[in-house]
Amino acid sequence: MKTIKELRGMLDKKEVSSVELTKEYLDRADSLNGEVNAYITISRDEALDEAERADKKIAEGGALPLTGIPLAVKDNICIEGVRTTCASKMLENFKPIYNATAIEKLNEQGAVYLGKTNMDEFAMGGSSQTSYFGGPKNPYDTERVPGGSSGGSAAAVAADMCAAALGSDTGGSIRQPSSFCGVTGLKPTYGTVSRYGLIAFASSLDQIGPIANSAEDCGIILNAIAGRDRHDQTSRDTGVSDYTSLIGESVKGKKIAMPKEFFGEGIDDEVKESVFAAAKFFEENGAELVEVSIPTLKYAVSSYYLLACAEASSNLARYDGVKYGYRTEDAESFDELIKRSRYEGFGREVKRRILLGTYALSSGYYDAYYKKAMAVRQQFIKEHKSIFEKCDVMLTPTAPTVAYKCDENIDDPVKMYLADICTVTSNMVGIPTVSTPCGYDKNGMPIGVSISANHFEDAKVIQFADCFEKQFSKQAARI
Amino acid sequence: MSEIFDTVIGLEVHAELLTNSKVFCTCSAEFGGDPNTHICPACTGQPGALPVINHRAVEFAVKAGLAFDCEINRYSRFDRKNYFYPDLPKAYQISQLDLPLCINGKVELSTGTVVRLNRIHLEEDAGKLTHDDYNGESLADYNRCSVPLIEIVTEPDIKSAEEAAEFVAKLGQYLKYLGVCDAKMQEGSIRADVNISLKRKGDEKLGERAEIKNLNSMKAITRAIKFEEERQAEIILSGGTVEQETRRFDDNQGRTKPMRNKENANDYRYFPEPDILAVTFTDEDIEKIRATIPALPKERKEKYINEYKISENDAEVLTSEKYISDFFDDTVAIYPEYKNVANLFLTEIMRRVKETESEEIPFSPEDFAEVVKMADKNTVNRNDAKDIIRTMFEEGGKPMEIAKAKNYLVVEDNAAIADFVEAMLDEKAELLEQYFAGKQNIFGFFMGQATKGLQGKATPRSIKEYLETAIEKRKNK
Amino acid sequence: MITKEQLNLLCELSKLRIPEEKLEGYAKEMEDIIGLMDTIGESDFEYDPIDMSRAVPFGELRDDADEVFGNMRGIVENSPKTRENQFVVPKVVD
Repeated sequence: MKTIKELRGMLDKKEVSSVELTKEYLDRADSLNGEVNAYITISRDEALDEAERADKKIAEGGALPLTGIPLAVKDNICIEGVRTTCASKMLENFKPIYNATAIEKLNEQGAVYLGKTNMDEFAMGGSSQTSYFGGPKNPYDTERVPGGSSGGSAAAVAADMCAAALGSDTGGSIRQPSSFCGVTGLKPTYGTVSRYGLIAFASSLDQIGPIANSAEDCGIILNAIAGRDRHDQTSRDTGVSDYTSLIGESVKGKKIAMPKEFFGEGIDDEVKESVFAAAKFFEENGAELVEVSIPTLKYAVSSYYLLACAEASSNLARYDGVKYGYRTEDAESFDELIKRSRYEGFGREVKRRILLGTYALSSGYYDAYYKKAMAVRQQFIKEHKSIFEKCDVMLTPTAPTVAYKCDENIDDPVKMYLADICTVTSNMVGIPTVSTPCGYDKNGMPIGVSISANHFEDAKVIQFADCFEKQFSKQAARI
Repeated sequence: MSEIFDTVIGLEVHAELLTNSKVFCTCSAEFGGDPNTHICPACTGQPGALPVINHRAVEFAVKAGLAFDCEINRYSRFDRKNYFYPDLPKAYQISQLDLPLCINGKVELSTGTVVRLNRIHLEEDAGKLTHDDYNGESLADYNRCSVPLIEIVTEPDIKSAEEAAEFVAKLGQYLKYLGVCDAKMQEGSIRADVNISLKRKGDEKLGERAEIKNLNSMKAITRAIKFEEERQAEIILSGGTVEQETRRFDDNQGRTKPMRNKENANDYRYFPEPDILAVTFTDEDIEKIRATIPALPKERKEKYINEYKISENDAEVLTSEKYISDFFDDTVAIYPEYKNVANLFLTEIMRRVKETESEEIPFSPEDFAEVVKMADKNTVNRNDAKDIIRTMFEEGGKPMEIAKAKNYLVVEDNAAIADFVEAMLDEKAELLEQYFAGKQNIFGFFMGQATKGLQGKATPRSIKEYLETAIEKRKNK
Repeated sequence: MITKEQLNLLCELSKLRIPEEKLEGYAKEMEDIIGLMDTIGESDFEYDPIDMSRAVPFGELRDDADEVFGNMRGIVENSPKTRENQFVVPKVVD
C-alpha cells in the first residue's frame, strides 16, 4: 500500500514505470474484483495507453504530481466514451459524449484511469448495496458493506486496487465509506471542484472529492481538480494554490470544537472512544478542546433528505428513455413511454427518493417541507459560522457505527437515513470535511474521525488530518 | 364588445431575445438550422451538464423592463418549472417565479388604456416537435432549446381584441427599437397567451377565465379573442358557467378548442434553480443598461409633431420602426427642412421599404438629403427628383451623378443659352433657311454647336428646349 | 398518512408507473419516510429568500459568445430511437 507521494518518487526515479505500476494495479483489481466488486468497469486497454503516454511525459521531464498515477473514478463522473452507469439499469450502456471538468484537469496532469467504481444507484444510499450491478464489499470483512455511496472507490483504495480514487459527496458519500473502509476521504468546500460532468443527485449539495491513503494525497488530488470552471457557475476561485501547504504546521494553540450533539445517543461506544482518543491526541499536542452546540442537529436528517430529494426529483426527471439510457419496449404513448421507462429503469431507493422529493415540492406541501428545510439549512449556516468564529476546526465521528453486515439495515430506509446524521450538515453548510481512520473496533473494523473547518479552509482540515495520520498506525485490510 | 358584458383580458407575451448564444449555454441562438445542429450537453439535458447564464440575455431583459417603466429586482433568482414534454429535454424549464428581473411596468395604448405589467422575467425556450401522423410519431429538434425568452405578463387591464392587438404590436415595436428582439411573429419570435373572461357590466366579480395558448400572429390574437367573447357570452347567457381551462386556437377553423393533452396535472413544483446563482445589480449596472436605450417612439413622435410640425399621422408612420426614424433623423440633421424631407420620405422611401420588407435603405441619409435639397432648390424638377430616388433604390449611384447622366439638371444661366443660341442662329441664317426648307438633320448640327459652346453652363435638355422655341419663333416671323 | 390517491398523484407528477399490486408496499414505505420528515414540523426558523452566498454580480456573467459543441452527432447517436437526426417519441397531441 503506497501513497501517491511515494509512487511519485518511484516514478520520477525510474524505479518503476507507469505502465508497470498500472499493470500491477490492474492485475490486483482483476483478481480481487470478483470478491470486492469495487469496479463496475475496468478499462485495461485505455489505462495502459494512458500509462504509456504518462511514461513518455515523465521521460521528457514533464511530470506533474499525478502523471502516471493509477486512479479509480466513481461511476457517476463522466469520462468521454467510457461507460458511465451511475450503477443504474437506466444508464447501463451509457457512454458520455464529454469529459467532466475534474477529468479534464486530471488529463492535463496525465493521470491514469483504471476504471469506474461501484456505488449506490445515482449515489443514493450509504451502503452501495443499491447498485444495479450488485453491491461492493468491505475489504476488511467482505460480509460487510463498504459504506456509500462512494463504496466502490473507498473499497478500491482500501484493497489497493488503485492508488487513489475520485468520489462524490452529497450527504457523506465520500467520508462515510472512507470511514467504513479505513481510508482518508475529503469532501471539499462546495464550489471548490467543478460539478460539470458529475451526474447530479442534489446540485446544491454535490461535490467531487478524493479518497486516498493519506490526507496529503487528498490534498495532491484536490490541487489538480480544484478551480473555477466556466461550465459550472457555482464553482469558485478559492485563492488557494496548494492545499498541502499547511502540512507540518503545529496544531499548538488551535481550538477544536466538539459539538456535544455528535456524541450523544445513537453513536456506538467504541466509535465515541476512538474519536475522543483522537481529540485527546490533539489536546496533547497543544490544541484546546472546546465544547460547542449545534442545537439544530435534530432536524439535520429530515431537512437534508427533503432538500436532497427535492432537487433529485427534478435532476432525475431527464431520464425518460428519449435521449439516452433505458427505454421500455412498445409504449403506445409518450406518457406510457416515460412512465414505464422510469419505473423499469430506476431501482427502488431511487424511486422512493423521487417520490419523496416530488412530495416535498408539490402544491400544498412546499411550505411545510421544502421551505422549512431551506430555513433549517440557513440556521445551520448561522450556527456553524458562530462555531468557526471561535474555533479553528470541528471534530466529530464520521458515522455512528462501523461498517455493518450486508443484510442489515438495507430494507429499512428510515434506519438508513438516520445513519447519515453525522455527515449531512457539512453539505448543508458547504464546508470542507475530511474523514481519516482513528481506530478499529473489537472486530477489527475501521472507525473514522471527521475534521471540518470554515468555508475554503480545506488546507486546514488536511493539515489536521495529516498531523493525526503521522502518529496513527493503520491496520491494512485483510483481503 | 357587447351591451351586456365587459371583456377582461390579460396577456403573457413571449419574446425571443436577439443574443448570439443561448441563455444557459454557448450554442448559437440563431433561428433555423438543420435539426439538432445547435445543440450541446447543457441544452439537451445530458447527465452532468450544467447551465451558465448569458450576460447579454440578462441585460436585454432588464433593458426591456426599463423601457416599460419597470422596477428592477436588485437580487433576481432563477427557478425550475418541472413538467414532462418531449420538447423539454431536462424535464424542467429554467424560469423565474418569485424574484423576476423586472416588476411593475406599464404600457399606454392609443385608447388611453394603461396596461400594467406585472413582471418581465427571463427563461429558456423549448425545442420544436414535428408530428408524423402516418407513423404515429413525434420528432424532437432541440435547436430552440434554451434560446432566451422574456415573458411579459400584464395585469387584466385589456378590454378588447383591438387593444390586445395594439398592445402586442406596441411591445414588438418597442422591443425592436431596443434591439432585443426582431419581433418576427411568423418565425415565432413573439407569441402570446391570452387570458380572457367576461364580466357583466356593473359587476365587480370576474367570470371564470379561459387561457388560449401560443397565438403567433396578430390576426390569430384578434380572431381568437373575438371567438372566445362570443363563446363565453353564449354559455353565460344560456345559464351555464365558463370552465377554467387551457384552450388552443385552430387557425383553419377560426375557433378555440380545449387542449386535449393535459397529462401534466398542473403542478409545476417550482423551486430555486440550484445550478445557477441569483444575479445581483448595483445602481451603476442599471444606469449603464439604461444608457443603452435609444429614444423611443413616443418621444420621437412628440418631437416630430411639436418641433418639426409634422402631422400626427405622418409622425406615426415615420416612427413606426427605428431604422426609419433613425434615417429620417439623420437626414434632417443634415438638411433641416423637416416637412420637405418628410414628404419625399413618405411618398418615395416608405412605399419601397414596405414592398421589399428588407429593413434596409440602400443609400445614405446624406444622399437623400441632397436629393431633397436639389428638388427644393430647383436644381432638378420634383418629378426628376423622384426618379433619382427610384434609381438609387434600383441601381444605386449618387444623386448628382444620376441627375447628370439622366440630364435632369436644371441650368440656372438661361441668359447664356439665349445669347449663344440667338447669336448662332443669326450667324447661320443660311443653314436655318435650309432647315426650314426641310433639311431636318441641320437641327442636329445646331445642337452640337450649342452643346459644345455652352459646355458646363447648360444641359442638352434645356439647350434643346430653347433651340426648339427659338427656331419656332424665327419660322413664324 | 399517505393514501393510495396521494401516491398515485405523486406517481403521475414524477412519471413513475408503479404496478397496482406494488402500490401498497410503496405507500407504507413512504408513510414511514414522511413520518421521519415530519419532525421538521417542529422547527421554526425564518427562511430568507435573499441568500447572498448564492449570488453573482451582473458584471461577472459569461460573455455572449457562441461556440460550437464538437460532438453534436454523438448526442443524437446516444438516443435509443432517432429518425432524420431527431429524437423519436410516440406522437403527442396538443
